[in-house]
Amino acid sequence: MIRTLGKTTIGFLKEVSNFFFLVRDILYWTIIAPFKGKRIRVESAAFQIIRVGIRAIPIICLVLFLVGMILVVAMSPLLVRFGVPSLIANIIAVSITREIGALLTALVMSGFAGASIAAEIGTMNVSEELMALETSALNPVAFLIVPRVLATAIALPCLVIISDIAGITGGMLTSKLLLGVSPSLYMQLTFEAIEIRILMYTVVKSFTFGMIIASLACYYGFKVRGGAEGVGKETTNSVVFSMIFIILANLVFSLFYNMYLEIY
Amino acid sequence: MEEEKDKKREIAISVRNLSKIFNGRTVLKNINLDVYKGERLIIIGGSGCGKSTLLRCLINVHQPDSGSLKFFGTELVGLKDEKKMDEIRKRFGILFQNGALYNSLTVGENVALLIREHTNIAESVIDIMVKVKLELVGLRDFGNLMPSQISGGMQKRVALARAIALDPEVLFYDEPTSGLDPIMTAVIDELIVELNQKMNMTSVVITHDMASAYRTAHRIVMLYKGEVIAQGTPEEVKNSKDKFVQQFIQGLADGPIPLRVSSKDFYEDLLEGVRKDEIR
Repeated sequence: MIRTLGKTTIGFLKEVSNFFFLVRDILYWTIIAPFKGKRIRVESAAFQIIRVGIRAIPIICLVLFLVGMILVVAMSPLLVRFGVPSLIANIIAVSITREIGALLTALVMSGFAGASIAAEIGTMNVSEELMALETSALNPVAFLIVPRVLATAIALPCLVIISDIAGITGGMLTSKLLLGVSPSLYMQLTFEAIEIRILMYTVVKSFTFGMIIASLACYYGFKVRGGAEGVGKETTNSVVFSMIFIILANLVFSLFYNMYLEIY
Repeated sequence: MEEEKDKKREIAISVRNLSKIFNGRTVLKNINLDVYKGERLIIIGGSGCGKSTLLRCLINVHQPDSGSLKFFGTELVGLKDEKKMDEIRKRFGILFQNGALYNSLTVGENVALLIREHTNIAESVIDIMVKVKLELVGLRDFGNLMPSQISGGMQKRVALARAIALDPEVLFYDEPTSGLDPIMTAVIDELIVELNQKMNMTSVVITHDMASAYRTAHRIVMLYKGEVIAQGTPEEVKNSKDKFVQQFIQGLADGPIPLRVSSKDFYEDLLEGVRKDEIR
């Protein structure tokens, strides 16, 4: 029993330290190496933005549009009872732009981009492509990971803004149908509710989510051992752990917002 | 006489008392080996004899647990300086067992990658170099295809073109002919000899294909259970009195190399289940 506990703890600590070594390498190749004349692969990052970002727009818009509708449906009886149906615009605007938009987009992206990156790197690992890179004096972190992490971290805030718009639109249409709130009033109240600090907070938060998704996906991709089964296992791990870490990070961000950014 | 000749030749890679242990199991035991500049050394051995591990130690993917490994005089065991290691990596090329082509790049881009990354050569010149390398392996017209669009044999030839992109001094081949048809095997063998003769590339080939080994070898080294059990010219290996060597090179099912690797006696193993029932 004690031996198992010890083994599990050591295994866990090893995983954590390995992950931090990877994060250290990513930071080195992103921040320090460019000053030493080693360029970041911008064209590769741009390609990845198209791959992980642009292709995800339809699914993310759909998800947030529906969530916007659901929120209105769920809130409308209460707002009607209190006689303030137009308050729906403020509620949707704040809840989606502050928390739900970024959180749901990141969760969808951990499946969409995270799984794809983990499976890709994992397959490259199995087919000796990573070894081929390393033995050709090309650092896999600089060559593969940094473009993917940057791409995901840059794409996510953009996707979150697009998804916020989709969510607000979904809310607006449903408010008109269920509560009779006119779109012009809805939009006016929405713009009043959204403040610059909320947008800044969302951008910083989703940038962090992007880093979490891509670095965990790359970490699990690197960890793949033993063929197709290994790729499947680590891809699942990548999605599960990025979801957990995104939700945890979101909690920390929310608390930070309440403590330092909220004006009561 | 031969030894004297050897002494005059420059040693490209020298391996001394090299050992490697994985999870308590010794995979390589005190390997001693010299690869001379310009020679074609073939390392043979059955599956699981440690030849792939030896290759991975030679290309610095695995760090040996003890011993010494020198590449043109530079000690690689314990070498921590990544910059120095990268400089050495640029001096050798590797043909991986399954090619290991980058699937997201075209055939031409695969060959061009290392030239682009490690030199300042103009794009127009790189184009010419890629065509020359692909012509060497007979695939000049395939530069724009993706690796998934060409056959396994072609992938291996492209991987060879990629491995020689920077004209390395030493070329490692990991099972270059495994999974290929006899014609493609002969083509690859010819390429190994040709590259060695024309460009004076030192070649280290890991294989278990004896026909291919005889066709290409200057010298053959045989590994068995992580140890070197024979070393010499193809003739010397052919005439070796060692029973293990003879069984392997003749491809005999019966001999001292056991077919079964189970540690327990077969009948004991069968009866174990019956005994368990009896106890119950």
